[in-house]
Amino acid sequence: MTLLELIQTALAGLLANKTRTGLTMLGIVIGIASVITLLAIGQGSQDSIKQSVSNLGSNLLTISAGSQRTGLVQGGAGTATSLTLADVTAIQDYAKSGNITGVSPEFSRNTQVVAGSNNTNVSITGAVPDYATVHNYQIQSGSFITSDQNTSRAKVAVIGPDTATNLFGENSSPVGQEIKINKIVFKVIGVTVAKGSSGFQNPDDVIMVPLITAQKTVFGQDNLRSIVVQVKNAETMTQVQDDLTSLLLTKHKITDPAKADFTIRNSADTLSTLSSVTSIFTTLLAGIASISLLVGGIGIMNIMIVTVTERTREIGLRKAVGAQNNAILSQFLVEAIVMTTLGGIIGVTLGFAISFGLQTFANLSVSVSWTSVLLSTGVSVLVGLIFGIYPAMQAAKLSPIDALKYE
Amino acid sequence: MPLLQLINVTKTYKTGVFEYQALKGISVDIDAGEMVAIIGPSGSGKSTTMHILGALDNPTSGKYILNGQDVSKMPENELAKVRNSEIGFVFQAFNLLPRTTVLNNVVLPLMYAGVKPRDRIEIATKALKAVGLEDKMYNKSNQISGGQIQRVAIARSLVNNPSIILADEPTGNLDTKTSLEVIKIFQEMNNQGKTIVLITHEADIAAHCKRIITIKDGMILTDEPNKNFSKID
Repeated sequence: MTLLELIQTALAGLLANKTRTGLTMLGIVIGIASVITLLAIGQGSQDSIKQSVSNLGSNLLTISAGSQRTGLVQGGAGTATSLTLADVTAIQDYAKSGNITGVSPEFSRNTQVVAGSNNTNVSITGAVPDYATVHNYQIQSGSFITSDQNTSRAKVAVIGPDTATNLFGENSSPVGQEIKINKIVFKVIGVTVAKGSSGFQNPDDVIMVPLITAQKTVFGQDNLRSIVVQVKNAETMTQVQDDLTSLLLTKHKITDPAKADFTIRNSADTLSTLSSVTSIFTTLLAGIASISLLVGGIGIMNIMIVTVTERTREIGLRKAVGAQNNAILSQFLVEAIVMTTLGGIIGVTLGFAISFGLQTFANLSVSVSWTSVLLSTGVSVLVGLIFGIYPAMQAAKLSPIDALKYE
Repeated sequence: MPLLQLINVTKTYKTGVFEYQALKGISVDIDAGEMVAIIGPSGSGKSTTMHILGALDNPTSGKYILNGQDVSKMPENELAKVRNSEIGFVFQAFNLLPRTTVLNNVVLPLMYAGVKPRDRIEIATKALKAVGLEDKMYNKSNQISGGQIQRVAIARSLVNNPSIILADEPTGNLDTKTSLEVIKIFQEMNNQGKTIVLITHEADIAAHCKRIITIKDGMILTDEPNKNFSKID
């Protein structure tokens, strides 16, 4: 018998009892559908995290004052005074080599902001023009901070759309209005375009003032919280990171890198940590879903054993007219494999449908990958093979005489 | 040289410590073209004889020579090949695969013989014509009568052009009229040169064969040509 004939015979056998076949396949269908859906949700959330992180600005090296801190959490504005404007100048010199598209020294601290009758405690960020480039901010009305405003310590502020709503109400035009930052009057000169919250920080709830204004006028401090550098190409990030490290060590007259009074964090590292966390989570969920595949496989084995017993006479007849052991083994093994593969295909289709349903109706981001589809189909074939071999072997071993006599 | 030779065949069944000798030494020669009935009461060993003649089992001792081949000690897979090419079976009941068409039942031995699909259909159609059932080719096995089932089984038994047709109580489940129709077909095949061995416990069925062997308690009692042979018209 050719493979095609084996498959045709198997299908005929399965269609002979549609209810039983359908119920048996259900285990595989549910298992595969869950694996596909969970992997899609996991991949979708990884993609959306990447998207959010890029929204905040891509290819960023964040130089922070103070020694190495572990974890993702940035500490508040430290009192470390290790980063200065001289460092910024040195980096800007280095930037002439063309590897860098933006240098953004930053300072931030929380304080009271009053606008009209609204009073709120919010983070104020001292920024230079490059801040917008580096952090991917666009302006929707008004303009961003200029270099002149920075040097002249102008009392101007650019606010985010959520801050505008909080301070001035919905549908307001804050440009030209006054706000009091730490009791000092500032004029709003611009509102940024909404970027969407990624969960950890809301980039739309910000107030930016010129850097030197923030340092000298508002808070009376000289230090910088950080210098954020945007690298032109992702491939050169490690190179630039190393270059800047040596540059600052030299500038700060430190010979032992372990004693550096600053840290440089690579946004790619943050992204990869986040990605690996979600990826572990996803794998775990998919692993749990796979347990149902195991259960489905056991169901297949159970039904195939019953089927072999029921068809004992048929096996006896086939052997009597000349079927050898392998022919009987192949017949029942193929039946099991066809059943699981069909179940797998239906499961993949169902997984697709559920994923798109979640995307449409629950606003969850999903991404079905072809790898997971191929993997699932392969696994369903394997399940049929593993759980079908035992019943098929039992069928092949039957003695024709006993099989023919079976009632 | 006879077509079939059983030479001093014994068969002993062992279940644990309990031994049962079903055949105590049987010797039979059957030539090509014969029509032989093997008759005996239940427990006489006629089923065991059928199993050995049909290459479904090996004798415990003695030899079975079929169409020049000594099949006495062959392993199961080789016996299957022998059955496929040398033996055409007609059983008492459950002859056909359930929920399967008549045609797909008749091609079964051809499938296991590795014959190409197109050739299979041609050969099967011819065999169905020989038993007068080609118009029922696409009927399912559960849509035809008991007598028709037996005739389909006979058609199937012919397709590989076997040395012998071995029929085990082929009319056991049929009424008298249908039984005679079936036996008539066996006689027709015998006239065309086929060797037929028919196992039965009914004397009136055995009467339609040209030679009658009686078995009792695992030994052959008589082995004689049938003086009262009656051909069915």
